[in-house]
Amino acid sequence: MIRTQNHVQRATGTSKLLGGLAALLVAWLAVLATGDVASTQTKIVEMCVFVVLASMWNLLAGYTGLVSIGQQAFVGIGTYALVVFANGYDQDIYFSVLPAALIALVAAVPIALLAFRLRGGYFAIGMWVIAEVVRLLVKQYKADPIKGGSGTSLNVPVSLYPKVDRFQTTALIALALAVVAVSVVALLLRSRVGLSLQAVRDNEAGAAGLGVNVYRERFFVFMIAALFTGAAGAVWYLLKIRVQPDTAFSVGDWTAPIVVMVVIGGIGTVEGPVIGAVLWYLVRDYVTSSDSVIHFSDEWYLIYTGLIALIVALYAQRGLWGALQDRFPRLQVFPIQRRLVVGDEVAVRGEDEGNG
Amino acid sequence: MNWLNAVVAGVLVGGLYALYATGLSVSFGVMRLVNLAHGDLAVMAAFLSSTLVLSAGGSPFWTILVLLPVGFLVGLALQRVVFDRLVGVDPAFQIVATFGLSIVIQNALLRVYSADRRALDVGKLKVDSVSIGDLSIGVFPLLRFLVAVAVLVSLSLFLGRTKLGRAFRATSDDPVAARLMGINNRTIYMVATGIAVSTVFLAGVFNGAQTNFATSDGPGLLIFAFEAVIIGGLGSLWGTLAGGIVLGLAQTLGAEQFTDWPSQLFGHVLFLVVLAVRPNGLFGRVEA
Repeated sequence: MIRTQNHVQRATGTSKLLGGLAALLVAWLAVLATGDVASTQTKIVEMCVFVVLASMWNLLAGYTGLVSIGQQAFVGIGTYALVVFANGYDQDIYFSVLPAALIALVAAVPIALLAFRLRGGYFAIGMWVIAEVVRLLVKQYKADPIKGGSGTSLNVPVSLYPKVDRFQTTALIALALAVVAVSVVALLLRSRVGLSLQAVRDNEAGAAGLGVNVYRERFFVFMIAALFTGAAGAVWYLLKIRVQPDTAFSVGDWTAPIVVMVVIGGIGTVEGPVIGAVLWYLVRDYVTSSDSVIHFSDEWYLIYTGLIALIVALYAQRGLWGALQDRFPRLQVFPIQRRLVVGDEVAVRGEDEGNG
Repeated sequence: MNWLNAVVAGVLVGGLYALYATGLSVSFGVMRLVNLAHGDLAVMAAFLSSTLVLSAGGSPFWTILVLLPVGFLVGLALQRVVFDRLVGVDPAFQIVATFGLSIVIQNALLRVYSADRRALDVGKLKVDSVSIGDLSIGVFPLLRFLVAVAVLVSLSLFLGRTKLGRAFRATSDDPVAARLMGINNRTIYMVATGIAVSTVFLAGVFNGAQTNFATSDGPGLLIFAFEAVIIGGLGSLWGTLAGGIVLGLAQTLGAEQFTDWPSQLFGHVLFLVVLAVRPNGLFGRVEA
């Protein structure tokens, strides 16, 4: 007699193992962050900021179809909001990250209302125009604390913020932000919202027909992405101090590498952008430092970056993590998938059958 | 400059924007493809023209005769190697691929030509103007405008009156049905991209003769082209011309009124206003 005991499986042995390893990795980075090697802390901050940015861009592009070339708008808004709170209102620089992120969130409301009138490629360029508008407006604001196009510096008097202390704190904040951002993405995709998003991505009309409010789900995710993108921009400048509109709102410094990281890692997966960001960062760090064996000039490095984006988008759309998942179907760090395990008998067979 | 002159200048520069936008409009109309490297192709044409002039002498105008067919061939190749794989796929990959292409073109140009700005010398033509009372009209901007209108008229006749043009419109409306009727979509796509690249090459040379240019100018030109398309409304070539003119007017009139603000900001703001008030553009028939 066959007993049928169906249940939905989410976490798997692999996901528990890999999740544990990821937690260990974070713990190791936290230990490094509290050390006193400034270059290591700089690397942690840069890498974590790009993990956040890539995860958020992927949440938009990979799950809602909102492919934006204008996310630098939120990096810049977060950065300048930080400057306004810290320099203009003499707030604690670390605390100022929080209102900076909220300002990015608030700014995202009118931006979404406008940009959501465009679709696909036109949405992408429309976001770019909006980022340009913000950049030009910031450049026109020549008074304190923004100081127009020539830029300004975050006030970090050594008496209040000793350098060692600032590097440690910033590295820890960046690491925490990355952990929270990736967890939010994973939890969001596990939730009802995540199911709706994936339904919209796979068949927009079908999902709408089943009662998914496509506009509302997209709007919600756009807000989340703006919040974290703004926070990431602010954290970056806790370390870099020097702020200029042309760099804070630069498409080449922010959105271009983000796009490349996400497609290399695997668009539409939670793990892909994280792996893409870390990998891209390590490779860039190596090939652009002058004492490496394989050294590229800026132009060659960017030419290769563009070529990789082009080739991956044309021939390897699943990216690294996607390719790995094709090879090993049960591979996942974050248990966001649902597998229906049908009865005991089938449950055994299901072990090597991949995702249901 | 008085107001009337600013209006004329705005209309004339609008013709150039329409010429930039034509290729974008054709690619989207036929393939639903947005090429983010569109502006970089224009910059590439300006540099190629300057190389030709430096090596063979003469005025930049003769280089147009070379660059138009070259642009068409570049378009065919681009379609075969890159765009064919992007038609009908998730827009994310179209954007990533053409964005990558844009980065490659920009930095390859930077590698070859360095970051110095260049200009195409058209001699006296650049500064000549005809005066009617207070009004003075630059000869070169006028010529540029007329060329843009001529291109749009010929393209419109081609789409409306020829057999191939009919096949274009059929493919745009329903690619599957068009294929069933014996139209080879891949040929149509190749011709479309050929036209898109040769028109943007033409625009690039005319722009390079008017102002100096650098390897990093492409994205800015892409944005102007895009704004002209959206302001005018998708799916209409005449809408694109009108969109270019309205964009040009916004920039010159804005700069006339607020002299210490960047002129492109007024174009951006107009674009956002149109998006808020008339999201299908001023003359559009297709939803963006």
